[in-house]
Amino acid sequence: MNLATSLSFLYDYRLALFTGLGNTLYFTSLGLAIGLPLGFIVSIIRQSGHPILKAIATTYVEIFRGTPVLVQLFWFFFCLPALLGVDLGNVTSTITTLALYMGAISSESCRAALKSIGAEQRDACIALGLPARVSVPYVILPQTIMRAVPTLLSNCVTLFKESALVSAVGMADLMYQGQMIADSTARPIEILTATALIYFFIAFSVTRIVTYYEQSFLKRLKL
Amino acid sequence: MSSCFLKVQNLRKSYGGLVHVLDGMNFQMEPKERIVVIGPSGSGKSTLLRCIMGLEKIDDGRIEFEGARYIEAQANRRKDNLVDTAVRAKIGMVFQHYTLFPHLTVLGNLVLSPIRARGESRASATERAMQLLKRLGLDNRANAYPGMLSGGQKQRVAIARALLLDPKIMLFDEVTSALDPELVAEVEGLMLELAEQKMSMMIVTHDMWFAKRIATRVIFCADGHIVEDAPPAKIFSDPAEPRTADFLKKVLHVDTVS
Ligand SMILES: Nc1ncnc2c1ncn2[C@@H]1O[C@H](COP(=O)(O)OP(=O)(O)O)[C@@H](O)[C@H]1O
Ligand SMILES: [Mg+2]
Repeated sequence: MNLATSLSFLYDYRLALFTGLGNTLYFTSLGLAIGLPLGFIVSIIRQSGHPILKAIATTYVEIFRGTPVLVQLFWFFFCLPALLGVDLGNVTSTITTLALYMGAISSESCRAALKSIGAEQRDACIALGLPARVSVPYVILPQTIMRAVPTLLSNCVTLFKESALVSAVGMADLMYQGQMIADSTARPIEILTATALIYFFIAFSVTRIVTYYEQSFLKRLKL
Repeated sequence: MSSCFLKVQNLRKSYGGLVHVLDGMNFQMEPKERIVVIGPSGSGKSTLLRCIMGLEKIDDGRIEFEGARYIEAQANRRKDNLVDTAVRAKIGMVFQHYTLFPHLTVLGNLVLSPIRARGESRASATERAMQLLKRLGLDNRANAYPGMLSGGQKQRVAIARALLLDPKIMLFDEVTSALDPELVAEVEGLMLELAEQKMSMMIVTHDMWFAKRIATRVIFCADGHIVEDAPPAKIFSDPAEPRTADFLKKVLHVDTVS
């Protein structure tokens, strides 16, 4: 096995790999697009909601944080149709699972950020005569978001990597394509290494952005 | 209804209904007075200032400002105070831990309330803010974020932020307690300048020398009551109450402030 033949072998399968990557990004970004706002709303409900809504939100978060994503995927794919007769189809049930998982982990990040805005900041708002229509958008929200961004981005990386599990319910993502090519060509080394590198390259880039943001921005403001 | 400047009547406040931190407090204040509140830690000094600022719900009593109803406890509705926010806007407060908004520049901190809450134009608010910062020698820090300032600068910015709203009275709650010793003077100096300009103030401090210098009147609090209320010359050299004398001896390690 030499490098040139390995590379040309990978080159032959580039299309399949990129299609897989496209699907991975598609599932991940839909999961994020639904999960992030969901997480934010759930964090607000858990902080200041009605006791029953609060109990529902807490149960939801604990269940999705406390069970493996693979089990969640299988449950929505196999159990939901059998139990409730609701068959979402594999694409919808996959996206639903990823979004609910993302909502659960990011609600924790938002909650921590909201909590970290101390009572003193709220006192200052009152002493300065800021009504809620000013203090929420100009004081509370910007600080919450700035503080939540690093953990939320890490959550995005987590979701991106966990999304490899969707191959288990037959979604043709990057992991699925890698496995298929590896099986059909019996050359797992090159193809799985390449798959790993693609995941790593994307996840690592985002992680570096988080570090840069924390060091340059948050440190400078001493937030 | 008498029309005195600030009138606190039968003010009661407890946290969780157990111990009364303020147990029926009464006093009046005239314009341009500078009242320094002293007393042991936990005696309710911060709570008193926070009630006057309208940051705490009071259990009983009322506060009048410039002869107008300001805060009143409602009979049978302990959780609901009547608070006149238009009156509250005439009161400014500075806290021990600066409480600047860390995500806004110094200038942004100053102009937020004038622009967003009071509807002043950005140009006019910015101009007033820059003039004030210049007076305080802080105009070169206008675009800095609070995290880049020294403690003394932060506290002076916090004072400037309150002053820009043209308060009739300023409340200071241990504003130098979190500062390194060498930074205390710049903040106390600014407060003395305000005193010269006849700003009405209520000041909580543990710095008895500063208290003696700035106060027109000193109130000694303990157990939710005013134990002694006298001019500084009297209270520091010849306190009437044994408890006051005791307290002063402890904080000064000597008998009197000379
Ligand atoms: N938010 C609060 N919840 C419960 N107890 C409080 C709270 N704030 C103050 N206290 C209690 O009230 C008492 C008076 O506090 P405070 O007004 O801060 O005293 P001081 O400023 O004179 O040191 C203290 O015993 C303190 O523990
Ligand atoms: Mg205090």
